[in-house]
Amino acid sequence: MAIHERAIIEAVSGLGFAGNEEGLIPAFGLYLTKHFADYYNRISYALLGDFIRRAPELEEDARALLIEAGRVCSFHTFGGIMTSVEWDAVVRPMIESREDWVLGMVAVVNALGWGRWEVKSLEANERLVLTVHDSYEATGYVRDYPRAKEPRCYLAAGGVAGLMNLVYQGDITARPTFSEAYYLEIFRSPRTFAARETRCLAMGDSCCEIVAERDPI
Amino acid sequence: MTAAIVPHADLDRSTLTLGGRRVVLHCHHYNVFLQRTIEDGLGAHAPALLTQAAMESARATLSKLEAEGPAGSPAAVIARGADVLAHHGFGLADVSALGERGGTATIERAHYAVGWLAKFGRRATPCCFFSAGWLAGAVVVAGGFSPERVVARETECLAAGAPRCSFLVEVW
Repeated sequence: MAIHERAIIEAVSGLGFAGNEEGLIPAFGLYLTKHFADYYNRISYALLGDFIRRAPELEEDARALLIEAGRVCSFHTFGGIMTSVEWDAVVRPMIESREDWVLGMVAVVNALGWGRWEVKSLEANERLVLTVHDSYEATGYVRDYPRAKEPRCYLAAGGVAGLMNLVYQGDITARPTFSEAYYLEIFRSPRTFAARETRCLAMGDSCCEIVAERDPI
Repeated sequence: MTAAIVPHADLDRSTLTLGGRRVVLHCHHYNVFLQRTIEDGLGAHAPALLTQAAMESARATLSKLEAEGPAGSPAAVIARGADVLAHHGFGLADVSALGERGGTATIERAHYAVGWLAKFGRRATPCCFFSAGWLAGAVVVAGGFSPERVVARETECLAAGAPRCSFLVEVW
């Protein structure tokens, strides 16, 4: 059985995440929120703007910090999801190869409200090219800021790199513990995956495109 | 819980919206890590930014929800704001002492405090800027105020050792 993306999206959407009697959403070993994209965008782009105003060369530092937040997100969120009972029930029966772990997780992402992730090409253990339509980062940027000279989807870039690291640099199929040590092992390795956004709605492109590769970028 | 506070899912575009605004699922690891990044990067300017951004989210979302439904009393607007917080995973807020003229509110287990404790442990100062700003935004909408007339801060925080998170909202 191949990955049936629509079935996964409908199944995850059907989980109906909502606050419990404490107003919290415990799921996948995490506390989830249904958060406001505007909030993330305001605080992230404010950090970027502050760094650029201090010194233009600090833009790269701000970008690195925000992408790191995305990598932390993917490590815990994607990791938690891919080792959950819900994954075992819905996605795992469709998995026939390691690449299906990537495709299955992308399908789950497409139920999180982040915009539509679409895998354009996946070279096992080497490279992933993925487009994002309606990226919440880029659409928010386009609405509130002038056209960017650089890409603006930091969470997505960190997330894509993290996904490849979980599947190929680490071994998500072995159900690892998502500890600080494991994070350092797979994200600080010389062979770690890094991601770069090659097209972005915020730069005037029709959609966003992210490439994750092992080569240092 | 009313359907009006549940985000609308567009499964074809993979988007969620509430009050015309994008909603996205994220976990506490990302939320508190990003907040710490902002706090480390902006220092003393961070609390105002984090609170103001949350206030703007609340103002935009709640004012749209009010426009779409029957006009509610100020108390109903604030209650809806609290319902959104609870439904969306930010914690169950007691807003019985909060009205259009301001007041206080408490959250027993606020998401950012619980998340911060789980990921980083105790901190010296309150961390629930999002909740404070959101409550302020609810008062802005309830009273029809200009945003600058309402200020909010967290006076005690679970993540800083208090038994619960407490908020003070003032209208000037």
